Amino acid sequence: MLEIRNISVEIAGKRLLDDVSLDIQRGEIVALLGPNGSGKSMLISTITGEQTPQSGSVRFHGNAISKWHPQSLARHLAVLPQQSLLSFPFTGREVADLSRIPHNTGREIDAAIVDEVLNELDAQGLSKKLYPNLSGGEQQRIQLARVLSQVWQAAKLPRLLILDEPSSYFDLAHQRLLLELLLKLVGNDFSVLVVLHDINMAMSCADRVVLLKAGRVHAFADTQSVITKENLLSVFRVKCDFLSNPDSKQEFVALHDVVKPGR
Amino acid sequence: MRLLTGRQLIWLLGLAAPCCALAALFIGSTNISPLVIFDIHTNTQDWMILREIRLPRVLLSMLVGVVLAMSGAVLQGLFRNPLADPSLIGVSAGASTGASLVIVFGSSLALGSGFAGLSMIAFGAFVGSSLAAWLVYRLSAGPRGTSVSTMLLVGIAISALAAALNNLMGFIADNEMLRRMSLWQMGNLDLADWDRVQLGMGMLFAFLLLLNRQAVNLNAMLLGESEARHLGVPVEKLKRRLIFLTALGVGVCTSMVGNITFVGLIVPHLVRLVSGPDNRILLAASGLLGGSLLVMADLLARVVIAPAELPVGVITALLGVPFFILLLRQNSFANVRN
Repeated sequence: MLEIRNISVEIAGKRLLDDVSLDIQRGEIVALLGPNGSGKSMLISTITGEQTPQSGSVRFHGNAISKWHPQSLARHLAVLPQQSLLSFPFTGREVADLSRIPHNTGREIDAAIVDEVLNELDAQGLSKKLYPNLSGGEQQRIQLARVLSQVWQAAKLPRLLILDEPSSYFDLAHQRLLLELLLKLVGNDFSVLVVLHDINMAMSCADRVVLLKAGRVHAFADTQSVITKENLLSVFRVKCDFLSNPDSKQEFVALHDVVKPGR
Repeated sequence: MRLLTGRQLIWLLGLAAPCCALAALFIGSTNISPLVIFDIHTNTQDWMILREIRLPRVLLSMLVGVVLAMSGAVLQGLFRNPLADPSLIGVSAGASTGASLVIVFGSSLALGSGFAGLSMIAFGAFVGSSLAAWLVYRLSAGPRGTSVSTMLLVGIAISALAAALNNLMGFIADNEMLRRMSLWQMGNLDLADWDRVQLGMGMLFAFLLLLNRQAVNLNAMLLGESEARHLGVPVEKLKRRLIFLTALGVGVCTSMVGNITFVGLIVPHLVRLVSGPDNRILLAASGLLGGSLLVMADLLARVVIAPAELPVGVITALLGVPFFILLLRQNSFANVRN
């Protein structure tokens, strides 16, 4: 559904993305991993059409992203930014309600959708509180409810959800909740691209992983073959061991050493 | 948490506005009995005062108040910053410079003081306020809202530049021009006449037409520019439209009545306190409250030292400055980056 071919982005003489190609298929979760400054956020702005690449193309359902009508695009593609500041005293509910702007489904359906999403995220209790007074994790849950409501209903074409570090402020329970929700949502007409820092979270939800290093795709394949000792060492400069739960056969990564860059 | 729902507030203000207008119509340095409207002799002195002085003045203050308050609300949405106000960020100063330029250099065009002359001056003011609004926006808006300090500092810079240009023109101008330019130092409604009301009505119509259906988009803008874009809002078009319409509103108002400060700051803030920041309510309610407030401020300006008059800008500034300082100090605004 999403095809990125050979995109390069250069700003003020600095190459931020270098010949990046990847694709997202229907019904999969793709995790985007990479150290700070490796170009993850730039890749997302390029995908959503906010940043125009110097070369290469981004196509969503066969059409160049820049050719999409903004409203129609918003019905198929929702984006959760890293952090949203809001200086106005909207309630949590009002922020979540903004998600329905691109739709004209009517007040009742909109309200029902937002209700359902708030319930799924355990955020009903936040709906009457003022957004600027919420904690970081609570604000993030409201924003997540907003982008989920935006693409909650089936649209003409399969939908794509892009999340930039969705759980960076979440407590453990809500991290788990998000993970389960994503696994439940993803299906034939719903895919997710998610930026993560937690390798274990990536391992437990992603079908494929993109590993970015200094603006280039270091590896892009199924999760098991990307998350390896060698890749983590060369991209993140950490040494690790793989542990396995004897009952569920689920694998975990235990990190234990940071390698200082040598001279 | 919220005192009134949007609907209740609109109803309340919708009822209050005509009451304020009626009060201002009959109270003044000479009080007129409302019964005079039943008098069939329409050439009495009371009728004359009502028709030629009070009515245009009330209408003009109402529509200037509506436009200034709504422009304030729009600018605050555009800057994602509750401290934006046309007079604080230099938009009004730009307008007064544009108007002075037309007065000084347009005299060769033989502009009268009639409708054509007024429109030319209004156009000059509009160009000046557009430049100022565009400049402030370019300089102070970042991807995550605007920094209060940058916005206010750019406003100071633009106002200083505008003052310098105005002073410079003072050397070129003759006495008549000087008199007209000095009006912009402090907003004043005593020039109200039917020409100005006509011009103002035309501007108000265009203003509301441009603003039509933009409230929801403005709500999305409050989340941030890229968030609004992801919600399908055509952000660049919206920004151009909002800058254009506030420049039009503030420019034309300033050219007619001078620099009336703080209405655009106080009014939307009061509305937000009562019924929240949703622009679908905020814009309409600010318009109604702004109109009523300016009508009442002008009434006060007329009666406080009657038979002489204060400039209405003195009243709004006296109300506005303490309010502004209070806002700056308030903790709930600590999350506005500065």
